[in-house]
Amino acid sequence: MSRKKTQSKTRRRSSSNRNRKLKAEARPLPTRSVLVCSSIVCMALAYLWLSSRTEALAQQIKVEENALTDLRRDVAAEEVRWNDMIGPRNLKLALKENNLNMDWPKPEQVLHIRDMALWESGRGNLNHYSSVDDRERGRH
Amino acid sequence: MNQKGVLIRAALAGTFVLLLFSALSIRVVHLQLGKHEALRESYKRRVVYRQELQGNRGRILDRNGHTLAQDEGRKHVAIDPEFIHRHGKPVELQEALTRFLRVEPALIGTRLADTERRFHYLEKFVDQRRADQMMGYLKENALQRGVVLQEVNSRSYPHGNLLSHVVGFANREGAGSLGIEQEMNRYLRGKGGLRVGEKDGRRRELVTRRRVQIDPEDGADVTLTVDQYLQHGVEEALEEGIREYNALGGWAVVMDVKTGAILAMASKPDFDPNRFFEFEQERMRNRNLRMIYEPGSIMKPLVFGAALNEGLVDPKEMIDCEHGVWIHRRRPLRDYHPYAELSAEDVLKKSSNIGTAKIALRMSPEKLYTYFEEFGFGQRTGIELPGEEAGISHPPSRWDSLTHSRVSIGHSISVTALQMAAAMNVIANDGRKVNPFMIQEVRSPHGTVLYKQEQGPEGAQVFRPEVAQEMRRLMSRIVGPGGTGRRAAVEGYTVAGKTGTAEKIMSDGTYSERANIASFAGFLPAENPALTIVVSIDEPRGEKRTGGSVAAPVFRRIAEHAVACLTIPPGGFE
Repeated sequence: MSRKKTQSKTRRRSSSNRNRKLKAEARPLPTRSVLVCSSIVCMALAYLWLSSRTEALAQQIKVEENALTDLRRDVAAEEVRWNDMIGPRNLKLALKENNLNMDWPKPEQVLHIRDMALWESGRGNLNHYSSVDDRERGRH
Repeated sequence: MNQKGVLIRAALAGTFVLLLFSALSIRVVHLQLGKHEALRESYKRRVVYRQELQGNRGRILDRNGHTLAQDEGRKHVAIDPEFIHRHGKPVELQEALTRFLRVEPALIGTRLADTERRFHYLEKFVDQRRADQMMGYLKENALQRGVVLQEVNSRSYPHGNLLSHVVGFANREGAGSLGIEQEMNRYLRGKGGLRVGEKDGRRRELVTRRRVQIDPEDGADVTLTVDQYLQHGVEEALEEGIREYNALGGWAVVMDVKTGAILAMASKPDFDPNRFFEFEQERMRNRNLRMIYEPGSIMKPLVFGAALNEGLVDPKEMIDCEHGVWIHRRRPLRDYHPYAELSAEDVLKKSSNIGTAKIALRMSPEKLYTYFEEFGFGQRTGIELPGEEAGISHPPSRWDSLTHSRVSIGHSISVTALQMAAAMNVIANDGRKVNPFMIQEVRSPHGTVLYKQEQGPEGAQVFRPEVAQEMRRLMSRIVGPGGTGRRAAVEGYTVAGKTGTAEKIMSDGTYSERANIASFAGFLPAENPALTIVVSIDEPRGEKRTGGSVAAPVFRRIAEHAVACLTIPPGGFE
């Protein structure tokens, strides 16, 4: 019975509505609001993206800073080791261990080549014993 | 009805939410704007991140750029005993730590057992390699948890005792405390940096919240005039001499004749600056600067040269040497070997006290004292090392009746080895005084030269050049056959010099009969000197005790090494 009732109700509704014009209003899209909201959403997303990118870069900076500190420390440690190795005491030991009977040259074995221009420019006697340029100092 | 109920429930829920948010807002505003200093401080402590960044101390280099001192990263090894006992293996860890640390095993055990503590140092300033080896081993055996390594900068002297008195050391706080480290501290010390920002709950820095970043600055590098290979040879020769003659100690300085640059400076006994805290103060004394002593006979060439410069003596004239004993002003003056008569040049060669005193007495005390001032006696040389003594040289107004004769043979005056080297260098340098110096250059980490010196400060023309040349000839006779300094001769080179044997003064002011300082001061090559060398041996206690028998052989070894190391031709540099 209920099915019949329902069917007849539906029929009645549809027949009562059959000729009724549907009231529907067409409104224009609120372009400005949509644009503003979209911009805000885009900016928010962009902010979130930049924020996470900044965070990632910051982490990277921290990692690189720590790596630089470690490398500087390693370089210093190697410099200490190298200077120890080439020190006079260890050089002598190394020569002895390898049975290398080396000695300083005799005067007749040494040929002095003088740069007269440098000498005359007054650079002084230090040139007799050594010349150290910036590469040897470990700078630049 | 239903709709009304829905509305009422919605209104109640809305009111409740509104009230909740209002309460929260009021609380937030109150917290933000109210006075809650304790809360703010607590927040700052938790959140604020502050890290001081260390700048490295500058290096100290020799003239060839070899490093004599530099900073090195080290580690303090610490443990968290409470954590180790809860999560680790204390027994295995103790055994592992004992293998690598230079600490008593019992101490490690005691500190591991102190479970009420969260932090205990075990060993400080462990070198990088040992620390890495230790951590590698601990990680392999899963024992590393609870072990903490703290980074710390430490000063390292790769060559140990070499040049220890010159280089000095920096203490644990990084302040220079001796030698160049002390004297050049203002250049060597770096500037610290700073980072200020915020940290998270795990105490890690939030880099994006960093507000302050001041980069540290490293200190400047200081280049010395010394040569480390020459220095090594000088120290070896000194050590050999001290051993051979059973002496208390010794010191030596090698100086460039023309420029005054100090090429080597050694003092024994010495110390290891890496372990400066283990040595007593006495071993840290640089005796080239801080030991004043009566020079004895090495003063004679200077006095002779002064008389020659004044035209008061002719090298060929004969001097009466009184057969070895001369009573002057009622006091005897003796020679080691008695001579009746000697030529003036032989007075110098044979080191006759009587002959030299007679020559010196031809000058007025004031004139002689003027020469002493020009030689630099009684004044500091101004070398860039701390603690230099000025020596004792009294003006003639304070001389007694004997001082004039005694001072000419190196008594009643006290000098340092460095002063003696600078004075002797006058003869080597054609009569002109040049002051010694040690710093060749100071250069910033960016390469800017902050200080440079190639020549020591010039002093007066003390002797005429021809007088200096004549003195070189006379002094080379001393090192020739029959001279007191013949053991200083270097094969293939002409050497000029003078021996000296000075009795030490005891605490009661009298001269010791046994304790003396044996010295040799000279230069080579004699015709065109390149190096001035002064050697002193303190209290040789064997059979041989004089300058000629003890100091002269040490001089020879040093000179042989120096001419080879520096490739000095037999005729000197043109």
